[in-house]
Amino acid sequence: MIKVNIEKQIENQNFNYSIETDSRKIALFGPSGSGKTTFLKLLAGLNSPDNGHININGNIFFDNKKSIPIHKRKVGYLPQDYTLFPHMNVEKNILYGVKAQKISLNQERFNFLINKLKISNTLHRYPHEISGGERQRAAIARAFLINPTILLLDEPFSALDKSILDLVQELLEHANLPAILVTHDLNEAINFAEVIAISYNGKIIEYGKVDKILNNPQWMQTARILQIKNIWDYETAKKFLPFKSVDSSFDYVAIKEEDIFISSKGKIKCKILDIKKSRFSFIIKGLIMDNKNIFINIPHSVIKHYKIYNGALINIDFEMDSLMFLKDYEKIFS
Amino acid sequence: MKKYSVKLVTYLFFSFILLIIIFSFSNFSKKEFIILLKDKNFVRAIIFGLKTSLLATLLSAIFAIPAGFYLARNKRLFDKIIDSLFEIPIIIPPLIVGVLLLNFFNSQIIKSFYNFIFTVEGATIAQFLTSFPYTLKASKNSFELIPTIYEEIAMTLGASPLKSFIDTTFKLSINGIISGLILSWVRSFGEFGATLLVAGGIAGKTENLSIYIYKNMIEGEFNKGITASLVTIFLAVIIISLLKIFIIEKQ
Repeated sequence: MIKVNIEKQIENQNFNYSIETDSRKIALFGPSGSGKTTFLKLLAGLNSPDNGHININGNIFFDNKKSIPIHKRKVGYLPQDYTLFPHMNVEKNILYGVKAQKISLNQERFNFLINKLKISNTLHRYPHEISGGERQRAAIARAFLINPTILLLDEPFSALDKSILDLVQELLEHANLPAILVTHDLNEAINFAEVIAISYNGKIIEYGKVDKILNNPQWMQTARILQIKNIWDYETAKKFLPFKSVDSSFDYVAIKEEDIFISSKGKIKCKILDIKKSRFSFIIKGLIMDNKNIFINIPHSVIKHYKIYNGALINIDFEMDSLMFLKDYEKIFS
Repeated sequence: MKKYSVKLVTYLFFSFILLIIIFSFSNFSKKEFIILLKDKNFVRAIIFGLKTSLLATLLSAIFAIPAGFYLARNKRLFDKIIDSLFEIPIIIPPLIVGVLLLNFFNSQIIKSFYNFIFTVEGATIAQFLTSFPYTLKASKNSFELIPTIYEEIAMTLGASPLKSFIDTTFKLSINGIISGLILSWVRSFGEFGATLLVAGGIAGKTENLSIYIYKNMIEGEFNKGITASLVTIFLAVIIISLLKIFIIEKQ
């Protein structure tokens, strides 16, 4: 169980994070500079909140009465460049936490980790003598060996081997350990998490189950962060999208590129402006009424049934329930 | 072309320094060397020089390493001003440090507490003040090169803040710190102006090798002065080489 509600002022920027979930795998997703690393550092104790509370699995790390120092929080922290100590060999790096805490080494666990992470033949080498992937795996072993209360992953997979993410998930299951992954890679967040929290301008603006956030976000800012390209303000969208007015409190309407399809009976006419090919699909940029751009994602298997070229006129359509009605976070909270 | 011209300049420069040392050997005699070794004041000057310079280096370690750490981590305007002011002893002649220190030690307040003039303590402080910037600069530069993330990781793994610092930042900076301490020590060992003014250069009591050599030279004992200088160079080269081999290379 993770229950966090903290505030921190750093150089005129106000950070405010609030999340409460029973889920064990959380991804904090957001653009660079949105305060994701700051959040992890506040949880780890590397930075102290101005006020609020941090409760991880019943362990109160911080509240208005006390703040547990970093070295007593037992947080497994994996930073972006996985930072092994350069003057210690891999074995000393992995055992550092056990020695620092003066606890006896669980040899079975140590052997399990080094075998699982395939680093048993690197133990006597120094970080500069091993590959990036091996350094990454050694840092994971080091974080897991201290039997942490939570694992904090600060984009540790952005640099290298993506398959390590699966390995980490396996180790998390095995250790029955909660984890927070900070990332700006949406696929990574979806692959890893049960719950996604959206980081925007130093705040968690919304969080929830992965499906809920992906298909039914609350804010226009979330839709932007999720890289949804078709976002129009509500009044404009009403003119060219065939939907019934729902609630006048909404500010924007959005639809995912993959939720739009080509259909001869489609209610919206679209002129193709540009076609970009990707591995599994084509991304079509089109022009609809009112000179508005629309982006459509059509799988390779479907597109062969249509004549698609720059300048072609096509009919497009979508399911009504794939429309997302959004509010402006800034308008309400600024 | 550029590579060769740089090489030529380096070799010429080195040859010039070597020439000066070799030239000194023309006045070196075995007889003079034996006389020198039998001169109690010479041996005492070495001991006094070693004692005061090592104590001054110890003071540098106690004060300049923490100050270097503080200035590496704190970059506010006031800290930058302090950083610049700490360079004053390098910029001004040591003699002026001696003048200021003598004036300070001569004040009634200090005198009522302890009389530093003509003492080992006074000479130590004089040498410390002229040599600490080398330790401070080297420590600060070394600490600046080590990212704080190592300490942070060590703390998340359960090490106390002090242990985290010693195990990571300090150990990773140790080469630079030792180089700074060696420079401070060498500077203290050869210190002249400030030590002479504060400690008075009393033969056999408060004179170090530099003062001993200077006094012999002005008394016309050229050969003795040159022989003592060569012995000093020999000692310095031996000690620095040993330190480099056993401490820096090992690191």
